[in-house]
Amino acid sequence: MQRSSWRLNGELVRGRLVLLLCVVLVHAGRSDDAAVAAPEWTHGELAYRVPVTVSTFGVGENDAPVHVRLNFTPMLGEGEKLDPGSFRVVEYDARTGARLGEAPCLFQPVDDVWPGPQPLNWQAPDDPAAAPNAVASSENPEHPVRALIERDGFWEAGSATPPWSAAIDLGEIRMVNAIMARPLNDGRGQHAPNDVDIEVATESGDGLTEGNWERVGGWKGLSAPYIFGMLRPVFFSPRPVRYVRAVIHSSTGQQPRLGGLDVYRPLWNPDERAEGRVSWIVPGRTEQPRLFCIYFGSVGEAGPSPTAVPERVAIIQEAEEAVNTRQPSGVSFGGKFDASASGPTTPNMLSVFWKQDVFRFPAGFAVTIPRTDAYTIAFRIRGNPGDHGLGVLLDGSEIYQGVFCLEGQDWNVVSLPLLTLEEGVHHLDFYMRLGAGGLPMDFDVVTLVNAAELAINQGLRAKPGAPEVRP
Amino acid sequence: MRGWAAVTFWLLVSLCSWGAAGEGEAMIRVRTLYPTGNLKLWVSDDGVAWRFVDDSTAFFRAAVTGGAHDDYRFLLPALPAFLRVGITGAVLGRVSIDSIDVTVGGQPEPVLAWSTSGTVLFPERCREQDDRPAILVHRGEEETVTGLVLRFAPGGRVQGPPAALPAKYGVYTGPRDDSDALAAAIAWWDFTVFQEGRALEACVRKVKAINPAHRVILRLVLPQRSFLLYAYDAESRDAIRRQVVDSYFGAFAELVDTVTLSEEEPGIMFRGIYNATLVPREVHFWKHKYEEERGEMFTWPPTAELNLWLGEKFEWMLNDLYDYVHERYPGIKVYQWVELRGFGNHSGHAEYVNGDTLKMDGYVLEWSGFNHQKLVDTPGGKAAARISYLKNYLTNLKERRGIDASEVLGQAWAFEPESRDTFEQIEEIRELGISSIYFFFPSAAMPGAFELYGRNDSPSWQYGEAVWRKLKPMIEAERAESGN
Repeated sequence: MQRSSWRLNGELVRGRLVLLLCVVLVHAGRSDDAAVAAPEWTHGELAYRVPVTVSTFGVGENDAPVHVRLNFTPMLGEGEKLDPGSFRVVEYDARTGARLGEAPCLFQPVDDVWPGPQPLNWQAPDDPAAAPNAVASSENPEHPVRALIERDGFWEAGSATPPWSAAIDLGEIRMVNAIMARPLNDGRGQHAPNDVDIEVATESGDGLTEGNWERVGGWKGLSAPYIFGMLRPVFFSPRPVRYVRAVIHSSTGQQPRLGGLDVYRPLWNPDERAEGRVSWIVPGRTEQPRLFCIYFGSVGEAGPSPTAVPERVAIIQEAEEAVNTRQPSGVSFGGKFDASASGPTTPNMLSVFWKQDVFRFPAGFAVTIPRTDAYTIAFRIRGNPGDHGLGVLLDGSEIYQGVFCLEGQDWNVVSLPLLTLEEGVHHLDFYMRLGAGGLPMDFDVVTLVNAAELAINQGLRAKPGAPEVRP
Repeated sequence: MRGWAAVTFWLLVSLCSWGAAGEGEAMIRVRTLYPTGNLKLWVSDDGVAWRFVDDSTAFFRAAVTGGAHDDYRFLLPALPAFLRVGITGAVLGRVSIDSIDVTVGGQPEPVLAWSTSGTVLFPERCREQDDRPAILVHRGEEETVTGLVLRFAPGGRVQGPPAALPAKYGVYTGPRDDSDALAAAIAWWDFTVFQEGRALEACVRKVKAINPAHRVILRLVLPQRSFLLYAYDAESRDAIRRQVVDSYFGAFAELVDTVTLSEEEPGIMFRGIYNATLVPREVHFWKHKYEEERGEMFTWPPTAELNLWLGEKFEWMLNDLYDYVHERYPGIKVYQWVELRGFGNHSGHAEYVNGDTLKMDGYVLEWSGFNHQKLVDTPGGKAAARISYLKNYLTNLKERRGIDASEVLGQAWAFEPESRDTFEQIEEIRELGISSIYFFFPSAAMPGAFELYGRNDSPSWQYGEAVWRKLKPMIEAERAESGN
């Protein structure tokens, strides 16, 4: 009886305390609102800006990278085109609006467009004589090369000796930025191409051997988990292409098979939709939310000198932007939004679960390296505590094979050893295993920095506000 | 690494006799906060030269298949002066170690000093069981060990490796042609296990002309699924004898030191039998013999009795060929390569042949670098036991057949970059007293003449060539030291 009375009193006291706290917080919030001043417009030569609030995941950070991905076209005036060299990032005092300093930033047009549209090489079923067309150096009559444009069956080379080639003629020059090859095997590991060059051309007399072919990617010497049941993607900056071919120098045994050589245009025309990422290193210590403004202008505007690539850069990709290269997928990617993950989209992480620790789940990214340098590749991830098998490929070649260890069930940041990366567009593949336990694997974000390590605890997140036009 | 085999042997002996003996044995208990298969243990007498003894693979395997995460226990035959617990190689991230303690004969053993190797956060925390861990931070460096080092007053020193015998090195290859370049490359070795090849005789003659001391070992080629025909049809038996023996090497028998009866058997002889859904005709043809001899109906898939019968016939063929070679060429040794029942196989092939009655002058042993780790019950809980297939097999050959290690060829694999390190295999083979070591390079190529075999840039070839770049000067240095 006495104990119940105490509990009752305790609850009453707690309730009153909560109420009091709410009143104080509401009052404090209003006080803050009243004190916030609009940041001054410190780049008068630039017509547009987007305020961005940078905050932690509950853990303070030092000199941590952050990014936002935005479509800048709707922010511009009619007829204007984004000037990609105009970007500036300025920090302001969140309360007074006073300028605190400028952070070197990197703008990159979006390069990892998942080729959602129908492949350009798929033939219209009602007009088989029209382009696209396919030719090969040889073919098994039962598995002709036309399979690559007819969406049915597969191509198997007819000759016993390499090299073997299969090419697609789109019929006209198109803008292309991705090619997905689908190597096949016969279930016993035979027939899979494992030394392949993917090449493109705008001109070719015979559509197969002659012309101005250039290599845009490929793979070589990969072990079975990276080939069997996988798409092998190649990404590159959008470029004019009419012909695409796969030149196969060796297979896992017997004549090679391809189940697809799909050619994709960029998801949108970069001239019509200026979508890109702005990233920068947030200087000093971050504990509380900080206010930044991203300034930009249009082409022809009398803006500042073009932005140079900063000394230290961060290329950040959200895991929800990853390319799923397992075909058929056989696994599901969870669709929930998680407030503890970075990225504003829904869902904002890649979540994978399977009943056993048998598969290595793929997550692929196209990444543009702005400058040749030594980079640390790090990823934020959570899942079963303990070991997880890991393989990492860069442009179809294995750069890491081993394990990563997760502590606890919260997000971990795992860094690969330092690696020199060449300037340009690359494809980065992670293959991970679930480990011991019943938790899914949640993959949040991958970050590349040209530093010996990514010295962060949990990282930072950025929330863009409404765009503003110069008064 | 040297000496780990001895340590493992002690470990096995200790585990087998746990509860009866145990005096002087050290139980290492490591509590990690999360499951890992990459925790490794090394021991040392001086804190400088380390020997790997075990890892947590078996514990992690148990966790992946639903087992609870528990303490990791390792049983050592004696308390070392130094113990290192840590991670190395392709491991990214952090491993949290809550505590490490050591008991000898069930009594806690005081740690005289603690130190660290690599990046370890809060190392002092691993001295108590309180869920506040020391954290090992590793970035996948192959050459770095990240971990904790414990120093004890040792109760017994870790036994060092036995003095290794001078080794003879060879290769397994096929003479594709009789070119001088290939012959010279082969002749560089101390011995060769020759596959069949287009220019076998011519190549062997050239090799012996260049290096008369070169030991020529021929792998004989038995026709697949022929053992029943061999057993029951005398005319076929004679034909097979001539084909396998006389026609194959009779013309240059004076150059041959040893022959092996096929390889990796019964994987070749029984291919198409042990995994056949329908009875193969080479077997079905003789089913009346089975029914006559065993007095029971022939059925397929085979019963255990039928498999025994098949094995007996194959063994009879091998023994007959052994006698035939000795009768015709008395100076030539005959080695077996067939999986012996109950000797510790690893190939996955069925164990058809009775190793206790098979005739042999020596044996070809392939399984270097293969270890099987299992968890065994001890009074303190599950402990890891690491079992070497190679050691198991060699022990059986010695004890059950009296085969000396000098009559064993030890194979080291030199084309698997993601698997067993070739040089660790060499150490393992030598420490067991096997002095004839041969290498299986990618595509059975001759490393001194890789280009003759259509080399490519695949990982296995790259690895094979990397091994060769290191192996060649190592062998040359050993030869210079021994005056050969």
